[in-house]
Formats: sequence, C-alpha cells, structure tokens
Amino acid sequence: MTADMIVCPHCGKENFPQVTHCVHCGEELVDLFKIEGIESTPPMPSKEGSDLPEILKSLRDEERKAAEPTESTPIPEEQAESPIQTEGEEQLPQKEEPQVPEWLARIRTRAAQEADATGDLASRAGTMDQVRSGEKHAEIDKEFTSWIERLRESKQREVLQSARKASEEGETAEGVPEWLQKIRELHPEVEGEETQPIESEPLEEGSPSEGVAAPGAGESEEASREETQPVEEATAPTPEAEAAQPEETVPTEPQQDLSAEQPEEHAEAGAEAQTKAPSAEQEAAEILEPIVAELGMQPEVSVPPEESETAEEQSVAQDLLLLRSQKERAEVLRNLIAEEGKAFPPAHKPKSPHKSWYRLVIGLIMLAALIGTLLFVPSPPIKEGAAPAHVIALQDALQALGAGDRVLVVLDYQPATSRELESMAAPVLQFIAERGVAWQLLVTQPSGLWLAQELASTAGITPIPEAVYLPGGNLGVFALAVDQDQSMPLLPSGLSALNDYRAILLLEDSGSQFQVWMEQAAPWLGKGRFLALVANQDAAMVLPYYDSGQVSGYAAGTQEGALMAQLLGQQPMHLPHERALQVGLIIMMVILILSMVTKAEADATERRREEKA
Amino acid sequence: MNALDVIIGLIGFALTLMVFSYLLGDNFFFRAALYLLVGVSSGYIAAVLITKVILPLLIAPIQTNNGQFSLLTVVPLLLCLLLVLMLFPRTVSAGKLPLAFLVGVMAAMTIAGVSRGTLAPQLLSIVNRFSPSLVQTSGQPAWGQILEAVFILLGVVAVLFTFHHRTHLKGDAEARSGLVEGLSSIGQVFIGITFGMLFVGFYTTALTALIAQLGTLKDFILSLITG
Repeated sequence: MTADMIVCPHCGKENFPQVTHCVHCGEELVDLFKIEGIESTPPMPSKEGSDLPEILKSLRDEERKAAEPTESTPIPEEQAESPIQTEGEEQLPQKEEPQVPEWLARIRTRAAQEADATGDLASRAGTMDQVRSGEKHAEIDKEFTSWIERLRESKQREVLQSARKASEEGETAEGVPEWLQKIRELHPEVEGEETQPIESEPLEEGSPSEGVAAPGAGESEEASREETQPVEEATAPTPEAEAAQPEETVPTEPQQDLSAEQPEEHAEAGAEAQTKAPSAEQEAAEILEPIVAELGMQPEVSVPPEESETAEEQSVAQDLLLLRSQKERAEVLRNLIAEEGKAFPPAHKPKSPHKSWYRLVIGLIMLAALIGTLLFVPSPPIKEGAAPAHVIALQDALQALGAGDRVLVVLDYQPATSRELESMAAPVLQFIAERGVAWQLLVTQPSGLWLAQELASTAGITPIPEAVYLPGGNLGVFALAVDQDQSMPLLPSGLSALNDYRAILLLEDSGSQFQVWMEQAAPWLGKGRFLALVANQDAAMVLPYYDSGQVSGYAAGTQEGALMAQLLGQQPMHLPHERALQVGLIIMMVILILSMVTKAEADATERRREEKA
Repeated sequence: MNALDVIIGLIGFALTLMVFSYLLGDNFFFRAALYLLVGVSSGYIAAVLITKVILPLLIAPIQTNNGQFSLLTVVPLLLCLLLVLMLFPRTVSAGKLPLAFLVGVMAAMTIAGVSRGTLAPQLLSIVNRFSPSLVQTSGQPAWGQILEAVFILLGVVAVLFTFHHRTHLKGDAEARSGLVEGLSSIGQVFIGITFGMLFVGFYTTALTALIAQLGTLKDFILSLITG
C-alpha cells in the first residue's frame, strides 16, 4: 500500500495518489501532474455533429501523451506509470509530447479538485478554501459541463434506440457520472431521492415522453460516463484499484478506495466531517452551483431531508415512479439471475375445484338414484322373448352333453364381476350336474380358488369340487393345450389333457384372457369345443370368434344369462336389480349427451372468439 | 344371522363407505381401503403361489420320480435362482438369462397364436360370408346376408386403411387420394362404434357390480333392522 502513496514535497508525508493537495499541510500537489507543451495541442472539435469515435480517439491519444511524466518531475516511477497502464492499453514510451490542450488539463485539474473537495480528508486539511478560489475554476466548470452536455446529446439517439438495455442497468451507481456520485456523497441522508431528478434531467431534453426518457436516463449517464472515461483514467485510477474490482469497466472512486483501504482513517475523518457537516455541504454546494446551473438543474443544498423529499416528490413524482419501477425490474432481474442454474421445482398444477364438485355431484346423484330405485322400485320379472342366436347355440351345445362327458369349467374372472358371472354360471352348472356330466374347475388367477367355492356354493352343488390352479398365464394355457399326452411333469395334477374334455366352458370377464384361450388353446383343439359365459363388457370381443366358429355359443351379461337359464329349464339366479341398471344407464346417457352439448358449445364459443380476434 | 356375519357385514359396509369417500377427493379413508386391499391381495397371492406353485411344481418334482434325481426338474429351479439374483445390483446381469428365455418364448408364442387363432380364422370368416351357400336362399339372393357381408368387409378394409393412413402420415406428408381419405374416414366411424360398444360394456359391468354391492348392503341393513 505504501508503494502507491506519494510524498508531499513540502512536509514529506505520504498522501494518496489521487489527492491534489497534501492532507497534512494543505499544499498543492498539482506539480506532480504538471504537463508541458499544452499550448501546442490542437483544439478539441466542438461541433455537435462531429464524429464521436474521432473525438474519443483524439482524447485518448492526448490523454496518453499528457499522462506521461516529464523528466524534470520527481515522481515515483510507479506513480508516473499508473495513468497510462490502464486496462487494454499498451505502455507508451516516456517522452515529452506537449499535445494536451489547456482546457483538458484544466478539466483534469478540476476533476481532481472535485475529488479532493468531496473527500473528508481534504476537508479536514482545509484545502477547500484553495479549491474555491478564482474565476478560472468557473470557466473550467463551464467547459467541463458543456463538454459533457455535448457528449450526452450525441449519445441521446443511441440511448433511445436501446431502451431495453436500460432496464438491465437500473438505477445503480455504475451508470452515474463521478461528479454526481460526489453530490450523493455530500447528501447521504437523502441520497436515493435527491439524485433521481438529476438523473432524469437530461432525458427531458431529448426524449418525447417521460416513459421512454426515464429508462434512458441511466443509459445516457452510462454513455456519458463511458465518454468521460479517458479523463477519469488520467486522474483517478491506480493499478491496485483496478485490480481490486476487475469486473467493473469504470474505475473506482477515490473516496471509495479510501474507505476500503483505510477504514480507521476513514472513520476518523468521517467523525470529524460530521461535526463540520453543514459547512462542508455549503462549500460543496458553492462549488457545484455553476455545474448544476449549467445543466439547468435546481441546486439542492441546505435543505432538511424531510422537506427535500417532499419537494422532490411533488416536482418529479413521475420520474420517481419510473425509477422505482426500474428498481423493481432490476430486482426481478437480479432474482432471475440468482435462480439461474437452479433446478426448477415440479410444476404445481392446482386442482380445479369445479372438477371435484362435478364428480361429487354426479356421484351423489348416481348413488341416490340407484339406492332409491333399489329401495322403492320392485324388480321386474324376467322378460321372455326371442333369445339371440349365440345364446341358442350355447343352449344346443350344452344340451348335447350327456352322462360320461367331461367338461372343463375355466374360471377366469375377478371378484368385482363375480356377481354377474355367478348369476350366469350357476344355472349352467346345475344343468350340467343334473345331466350327469363330469366337470372340473380350473382357475387361472389365485383369487379364482375361493371364487370357485363361491360359485359352487351359489349353484348348490355338493360336495364342492376342488379347483385346480393353472399358473403361468399365457404360457400355462399354451402348455396345457400342447401337452396332449400329459408328459410334462410341471403341469398341475388333477387335470386331464384338453382333448379329453368334451367341452371347455369359459367364464370370462376379460377380453384379453378370452383371446389367450382362443389363440393358444383353440388352434390345438379344433372347432366346436369352446363355450363361453362372459361379462357384458366382453360381448363385442367374443362375437367375431363366434362368427368364425371358434366358439360354439356364448351368453354375455345377466340378461342373456337369465335367458340361458330359462332355455335350459333352470331357475334364474337372483339378478341385479334391472330397474336400477336401467336408471344407471339412463343417467350415464344423459351425462354423455350433456357433455357433448357442452363441449360443442364451448368449441363454438372458442371458434367465434378466434374469428373475432 | 350370526355374530360373524354381522361383523363381516359391518366391515364390508365400512370399507364400501371408505371407497365411496373418493367422491370427495383423494383422502385417508380411500387410501386406507386401497392399501388394505393391496396388502390382503398380496398376502393371499403369496400364500397361493407357495402352496400351489413353488412347493408342488418346483420343489416336489426334484424329490419324486421314484427317488431318482431328474435334471429336467432342476432347470426351472436354476432359472428361478437366477431371477432371484436380480435383487442384487452386482448380479443383475445373471437374471437376464431367464428373462430373455421368457421373452423369446412369449414373443414366438404370441405371434403364432395371433396368426393361427385370430387373423386366419377371422379372415376366413369374412371370406366365407360371400360363399354361394350363404348369399342365396333357394336360388334367390339373400340380400340381408349379402348386405351384412359387404358391410363387414367394408368395415375391415376401412379400418385397415385408417391405420395404414395414420402410419403413412407419420413418415411422409404425401397427399392422399380422395378414395383413400374417404375410406379412412369410414374406418374411423367403425372404430368409434367399436370403442362406444366397449365403453358401454365396461360401464354396464361396473354398474352391475355396483348395484349388486348396494343390494347386498341393503339386504344387510334390512336384516339388522328386522333382526
């Protein structure tokens, strides 16, 4: 740290490199920045429409040349090299080239004085009195402000075109000129509110609307700061300061460096400055008054914070609102950046309350209708009518069975459909038993073991025959069909070869399982062996196999089962309430029709809306 | 009605109400009934498989066969042990052997079964519908049989065109002729009718089960009331 300090030629004490006056004795250190040959430099082009890159180029060239130390000045080597060792610039040979214009040198001096004036250390040393002296400072201020004004005007168009970028910048200190930051430092208690009108001021000149001007304010100041960067680089930054904040393109303020590098000294100076705060503010206001007046702004000094806030809110309320919205957008952007790369939580789809209500209402209506029908409406007698062809075919096949024939009854249904299938199968089993037909129960599902007992119990058959469980699903059916000579030891015992059975009666509630028997067993056994009693849901699946002759006959559902029982001369089993069944079907039809109408209406509405759009 | 019937009836009634509570949304009672069903079913199936499959069909054949050791009966046991090895991460690959065996056998069996048990008989059935013995009665054309046969043939061809059209559109956006488009649309109508019939069948079966269960509950409650 001490390598960066400069030694006062008067008192011999160390000072920070950016100060222009010794903080101990108050003597000027401007000699350190003395540049020869200023008069020979060409004047700065002042035309508004001049090419901006040319201006910058000339400024940078002049700056490099002017920043080179002379041979006569007793400056430490690293101190002399610091202005030209900025990032991205190569080190120039050290020789005298008097090309810096006088006004630019004065601007730099003025900038250095400003930096010194805002610093607490400088105020402690009382060097402000020297800074305030003379009319030439006013001229410097005027030239400085007019130059910044020209740069701002030339950048104004670009600012308006890139308004989107302004939302990313927000209202941060990075986009604020150095002199404006110093104003904020002099008024820390009203910093946020007081500086906002100043930021929005340039935009009122060039923007047609405030809504566009407000986002452009930050951009304009950012642009102006970029343009003034050569000047700042020549006066303020040090290599250590740049290294401390490598991400920022704008050099750090000297005041910030002081606070960061010497907290103790800064705290002491701050405490002392607080005791002298009113006088320091007045002095700063007097210095900044010509700048503010030149920019067309209202001076903001010696006003109580509350009054200042009120006045600002009344005068520039719209600008404040816009800047606050910028803050909000910047906050949103900051949150988005913070969330970048994090895993998204699973999308939470809130449940629609309407669906639950619809389901509840429909379910309750259905239950109420069914219970009411069961309680108050008697079950009708079974209709006697013409039986379908497949039922008559089943009756013929069953009546062809005689004593000594063997029938394999395959139970392949779930407990949920047991009521339906038991009411169909029980009369058939009674008929088979009465005719002296030997029958064997085979189940392909574990639950079929106790369902077989239930079926035999419902049919009133005693003793209840033992059911054989056939494991393996499709493979088991295939193995059972293929093993005609029963040579496979892994098949369940108690079963004969399928060819030994005169008929195979399938009790099915699953179309796929019925298909398994048709595909894996029927091709090996030939036509005319399979009979089927299926649930109503499988009627459509069985019909083609009946048409192709693979199934000799079948009955589907309780109604056909009842017809089948009547044709066989058996008493139909206790059927599910037919009226309740009809009520349930009617309710479902009404719901389907209403759903279709509602959907068609919704589609038509959506179509009309799209056409209007 | 004895005490056991009453207890079982009350349990069934309570479980029925717990399942019906799903009308109010997914809740604890519905899930409890569901877990109870799954747990009881799993236990019952495990018991059945042990007593009906593993012991009599897997273990017993090894010891029997007149006291002689049969290598053929060991093969299923070895395949089962390889399947058990899939429980351990390091020996998962060993379990792929019986799985590959099963998948290969199932694929071959399914293809052969579909061909012999469904496709060939159904196609022959369609063709047979146009046999002279069916389309004419005593020398006169049986228009009803002819119309039915044509309708069935049209349905089969149209549905086949529908699926072919969809497969074709997935790979190529070539424009189709009006005839093909028309057949495809007709096929969609047939498919819709089939799905509608399937839906009615499923709904009727579910409704039958519901009515039967409600009837059982009604009888149980009435028996409790009347004593």
